[in-house]
Amino acid sequence: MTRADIAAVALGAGLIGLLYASLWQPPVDATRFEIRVAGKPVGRYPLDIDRSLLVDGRLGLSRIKVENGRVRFAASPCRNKVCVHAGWLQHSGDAAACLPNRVSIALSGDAGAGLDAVGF
Amino acid sequence: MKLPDSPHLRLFLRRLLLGIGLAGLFAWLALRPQPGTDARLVEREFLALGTLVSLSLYLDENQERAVAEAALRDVEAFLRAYERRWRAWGDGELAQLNGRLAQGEAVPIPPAMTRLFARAAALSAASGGRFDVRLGRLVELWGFHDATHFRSAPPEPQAIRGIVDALAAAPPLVPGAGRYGPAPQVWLDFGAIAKGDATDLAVERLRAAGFANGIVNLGGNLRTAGRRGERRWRIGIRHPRPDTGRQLLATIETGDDEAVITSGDYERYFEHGGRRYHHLLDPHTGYPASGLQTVTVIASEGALADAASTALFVAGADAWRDTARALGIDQAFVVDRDGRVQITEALAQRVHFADGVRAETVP
Repeated sequence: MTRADIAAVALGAGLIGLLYASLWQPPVDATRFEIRVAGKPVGRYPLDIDRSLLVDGRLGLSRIKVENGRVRFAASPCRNKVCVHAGWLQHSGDAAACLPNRVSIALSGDAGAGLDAVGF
Repeated sequence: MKLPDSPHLRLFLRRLLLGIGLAGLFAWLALRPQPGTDARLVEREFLALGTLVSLSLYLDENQERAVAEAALRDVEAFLRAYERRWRAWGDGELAQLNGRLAQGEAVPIPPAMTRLFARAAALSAASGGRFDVRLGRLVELWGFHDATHFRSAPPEPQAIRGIVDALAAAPPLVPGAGRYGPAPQVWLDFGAIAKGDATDLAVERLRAAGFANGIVNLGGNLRTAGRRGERRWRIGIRHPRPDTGRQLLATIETGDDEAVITSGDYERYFEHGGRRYHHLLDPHTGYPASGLQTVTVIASEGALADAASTALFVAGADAWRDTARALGIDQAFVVDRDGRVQITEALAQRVHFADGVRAETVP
């Protein structure tokens, strides 16, 4: 290797490192989720409170269960139960939907990086 | 260390070293501590007062974590008792008082409750009735008292009109009065002031336990005390219509003792026929107040800021400034239905709005 080769390798490695540092994110645990009916948000809930929610959709009530920082469709009045089979969701960006009942849930992370608290 | 003579082996070792170095670099990048963690920060989260409560303390050098955690547990127990007392429905003290009111009795106000009754009465009068704790029946009719099940359509107009007329005819709360009623049509709901008041009491409790620096955040309605070590507490205000690239509307660094309280049309609502029906009801019309998306009020007292944020929201785009004056609030901002921001002069100097947000300062 010549000196130029070493410089090129070092430069390349440095650039990759920089990109990695600025862009790479591990799968982030979501902190809350939003329920939508026919695409319209009907409520936002934290994921760290265990509970069961009933959402009125086109066909009837979908039951959404929150447990240990995860959320899932527990029951829905649809035929194929694709939403129920989607199982537990816990990462920011995850989503599940019961299309027949027009109910969907979408998980998101924390809005307030660098802040001590967020008012809303 | 003496390098081996073989040039091949030396090349191999050099590359091995470079490889290990790079691997180490990547491992560090992936595992480096997340910014914001701090050994002197003690936090506790739980569900109370119908919302997510988040308590934070920033310890002095000589304060122990275990003691702080005990203080936070004590505040949790206190908030749960507070919730039982002030919940309008159920079997707590206020709910029982409501039950007796409904039977047409004049009800004595328990000594532990007279302070907030008096505060609510005074603020209701000062706000021209825009903040009113007597509207429980209306909240119930709209279904906003039950956070786990939503209505999908607004109630019948005649039912709303009936409650509004009954409210107009019902006796007002009188500051300092020992009893209220008879007012069989009134169901008292302190939901628009209790969270703010609870932040005040929780901060007082933490101070009495020796913790002067902290945040009490009741579902986005918060009060800060002291500082976070060398710097002030940094508070974000969520955007009323967030999207992926824009979650926050503004940030502010709070002073030693300030409540930051927001009322928005996005907290509890349903949509019907293309219209949004939210939980901030105008006691004069019986319908959700229109004209604003969100109001944020900053004041030293949480109870005042809480009641004021509701009153300003109900007052709407044209009357919010005058209503703020009437309540003695000089730090507030509002977002109107078209997304325009208006802010008082006193607050404009302190708030940083997110990129792309333009705020109009009003005197």
